[in-house]
Amino acid sequence: MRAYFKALFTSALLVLISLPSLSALALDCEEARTEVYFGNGMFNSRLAAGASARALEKRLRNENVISNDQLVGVAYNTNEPALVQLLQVVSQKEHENSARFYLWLSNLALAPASFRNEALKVAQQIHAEAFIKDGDLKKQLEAYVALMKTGGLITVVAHSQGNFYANAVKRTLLTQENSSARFAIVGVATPTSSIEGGGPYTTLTQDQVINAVRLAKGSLVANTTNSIASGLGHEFVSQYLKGDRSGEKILSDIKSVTTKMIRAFARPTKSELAYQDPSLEPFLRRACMLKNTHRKFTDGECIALTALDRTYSWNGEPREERSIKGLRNWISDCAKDYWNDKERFDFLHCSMLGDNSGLDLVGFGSPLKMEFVISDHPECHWHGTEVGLRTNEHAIAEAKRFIESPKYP
Amino acid sequence: MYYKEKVNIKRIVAIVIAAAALVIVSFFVFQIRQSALVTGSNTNPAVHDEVDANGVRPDVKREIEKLYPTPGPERNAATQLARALQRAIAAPEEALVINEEFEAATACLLAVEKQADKQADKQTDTRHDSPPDDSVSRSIRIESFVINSKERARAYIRYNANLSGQLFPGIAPDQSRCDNEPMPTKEE
Repeated sequence: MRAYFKALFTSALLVLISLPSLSALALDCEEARTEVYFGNGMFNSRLAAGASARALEKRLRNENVISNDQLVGVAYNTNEPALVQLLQVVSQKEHENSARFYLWLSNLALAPASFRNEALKVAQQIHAEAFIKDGDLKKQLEAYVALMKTGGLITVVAHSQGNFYANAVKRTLLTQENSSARFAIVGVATPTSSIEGGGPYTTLTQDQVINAVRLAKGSLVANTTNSIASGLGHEFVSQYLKGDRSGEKILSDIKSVTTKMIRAFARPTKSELAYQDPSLEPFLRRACMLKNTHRKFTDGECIALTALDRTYSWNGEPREERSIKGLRNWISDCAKDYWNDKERFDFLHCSMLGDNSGLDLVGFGSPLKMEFVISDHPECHWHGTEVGLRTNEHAIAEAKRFIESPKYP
Repeated sequence: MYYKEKVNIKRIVAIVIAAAALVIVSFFVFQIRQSALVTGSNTNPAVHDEVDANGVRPDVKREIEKLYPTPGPERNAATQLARALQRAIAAPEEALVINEEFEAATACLLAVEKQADKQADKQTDTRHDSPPDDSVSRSIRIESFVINSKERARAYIRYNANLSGQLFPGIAPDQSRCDNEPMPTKEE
């Protein structure tokens, strides 16, 4: 009975102790939510555009560019007269052509040469002014602006004629203060002569549609060649996203533009900074960036943030306590990703240099001193097998780089 | 004489004005018709196909059964998508409403295929699980089953045009958006 009450008392005490940590303030960052939209080309139905967006989403998720629960949306556009024109021409030639119209539009490689030639002619005739409908552009612009007002950082992966709309949106935003930096374009198979705002683009040398358009309209030069191409070399998923070189380039471009936006907008709020030691700002800024990239922390980042926590945990300055609470949430999240519960417990409570090292970071007032300890003791490790394995030289070197230069690489 | 001349002049002026008005009106009518022809907005290209109790044409039903030979959730989800597409060509002017049905059908299709994937390979890392390419290619095939004539393509172009300019959030797999079991049809 006595043991029962003891256990009950201990549990209650533990709950009471853990309450403040549960309600600990998270690191207060400005809202900088990345959102990716696929701007489709002219031959896409809503369904086909959605299918391309999902393929892009899958690739971005596998490469940790977006979080597991993040989705890629569709910035849909189409041009009815152009498609009606194509339908009229092809159905006059052969009845079967209209029966398979949408199957062939979704994959021109499946279409007979006569259909492909007509599709090429239509694509060649279309130019931005004729393609864009003012009403559609207005709708799209308003939707983007609404997202940006709530902290959205928009990346539009624009394929083919989708570039007309993305460019027009960016052009309008450039005339509006403060909003254009929240909107970036990654051009793919671009028929335009530029990407507004100087965004990156990928056009295949094997893309026969854009090669034909270029002759008529002076599109940007092709800048990528895949080992293998099929059909007209123009489809977003089969040719560009799955292409051995174009796929990598598109992904790298998306990472690059989103990182650039996060860098510009992900930062601690002014009220958060008001409480901080100024020397902490670059670290907190980096932590805000990490938060918004939606990816797991690397081992090095985890070690560095833990070290930062340790460095300041017992510094005794009351104004720093708030930031430590915020950081601890981070560290807990990062530890949770890497280690199971028991080891996380060990990790967060053990001494930086191990139980028997006789050294500790307690009382260090500056990350530079922590760096000194790591430099002098590369064998630094935490107890716990998994933790020990992960605390290798590479991770420590990465942590050191983080501490020496907290600005995002 | 003078009076007669005056009347003639008045008549001539009236005729000239009437002719001018006729030319102007004809010009505007022509312009409106031309513009309607270009935008395709002068006609409602809706098609009125015979469908079964599940809202699907018999030819589409047969194609879906070929694609999914075994009755079950995958075939049901494909039927749900086919119904949404059939609704799209039957009422292209209601595109925004029908798009909701289309999105529900897609969410269902993704959920069902994800489930099937998990059953097939329980070792799959669910954190990185994502819609298989299969669902992409199959949904496009279902689209081609439904949109298989010039009239249907025309209506579908109109449907899509009514969605142009919209931003659509991504669609997550969601089992709860699956319809109930399909109704048995006469052939069954």
